[in-house]
Amino acid sequence: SWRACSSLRLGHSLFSNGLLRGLHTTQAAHKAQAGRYRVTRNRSKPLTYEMANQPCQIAHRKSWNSWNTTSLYEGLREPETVVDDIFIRKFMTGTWHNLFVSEVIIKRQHNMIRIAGIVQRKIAARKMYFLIGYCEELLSYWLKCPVKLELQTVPDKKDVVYKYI
Amino acid sequence: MRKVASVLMMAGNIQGAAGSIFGRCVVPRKLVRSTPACGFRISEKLSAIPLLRSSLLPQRTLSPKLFHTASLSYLSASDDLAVGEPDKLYSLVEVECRGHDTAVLRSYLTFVSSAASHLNVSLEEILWPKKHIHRWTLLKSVHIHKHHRVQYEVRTHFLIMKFARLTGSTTDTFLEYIQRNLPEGVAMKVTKHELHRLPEHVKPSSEVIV
Repeated sequence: SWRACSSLRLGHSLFSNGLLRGLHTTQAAHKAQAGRYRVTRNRSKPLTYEMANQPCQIAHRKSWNSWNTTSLYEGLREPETVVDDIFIRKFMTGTWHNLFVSEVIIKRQHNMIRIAGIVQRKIAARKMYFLIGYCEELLSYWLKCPVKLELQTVPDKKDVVYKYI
Repeated sequence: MRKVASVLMMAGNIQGAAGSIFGRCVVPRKLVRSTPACGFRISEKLSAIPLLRSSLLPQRTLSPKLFHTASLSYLSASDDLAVGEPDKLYSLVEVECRGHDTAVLRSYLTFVSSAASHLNVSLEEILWPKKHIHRWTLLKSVHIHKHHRVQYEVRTHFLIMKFARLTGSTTDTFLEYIQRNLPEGVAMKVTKHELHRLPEHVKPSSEVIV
């Protein structure tokens, strides 16, 4: 199938020797669409602050979700840490069913992993304590280092909505 | 650069007060881990004869038995100063911190400088070397579209703090305090410049007029 392409002819703005050359652009490939949400007609989609800021705003208005030293200059063990992070995020979102309202933040300090996030208060406090202990215990056995959970709770998920799109 | 696990001297009674998770010691107080995942790497470069002090630590220990036996072995293999042995003298202790975020490094600097001023450790020089940017270009699309690329970059910021005229025990204690409060995502490299006496057999020749 042909890809839809539009070709432009540009004049002297690009070349000094007077020759005309064409510039071919494809409609889909020149746009960036990572981490961006489509505007709805009636402004009904809620966005948290993190979702509202695009990936180009990282280190300006956003910060990272996992803090470690692996990608520093002369840092080590980067791929293993990435895989560990993926596992931790899947495990946390799966264990806390529909309860996480923010992203799972992973901080590595010395030999400890500290997991932070915002959780809704949909289940009883005793169940939350059990889940915290369960996650800490199992993750520490899997990842072979102390794991600490530092969760904050919020009564309703509307409390973390930054804007509607 | 050799990764040397430096065994720090701490008073034995502090070990009992260590915080514990699951009823076990998180980190034996005498140990400082030197793996990259933990956030700092310690290298000791001695200006004189280097002392080999490598006790390779198990990277992560889990069961209570391992923790206790490990800490016991470190007690025996520790290099506490013997009674009567003079303390080491460092003319310069250089601490280099690396991070992705300058704000984090700046706040860590205020913490370290206030700790140094309270403990009478002279912080002589603060340097901010030029940041290191690692850039690379990838194809934006999975298949074809060679003219559309994506560029990523990773920035590493540096902070160098130089402390002068410290003794060995002060250095160990101060560094341990600083490293315990090292923020996540910040790496540390410590360079110690030690002062040694000239060996006995090195003497000025008899022809030299003093």
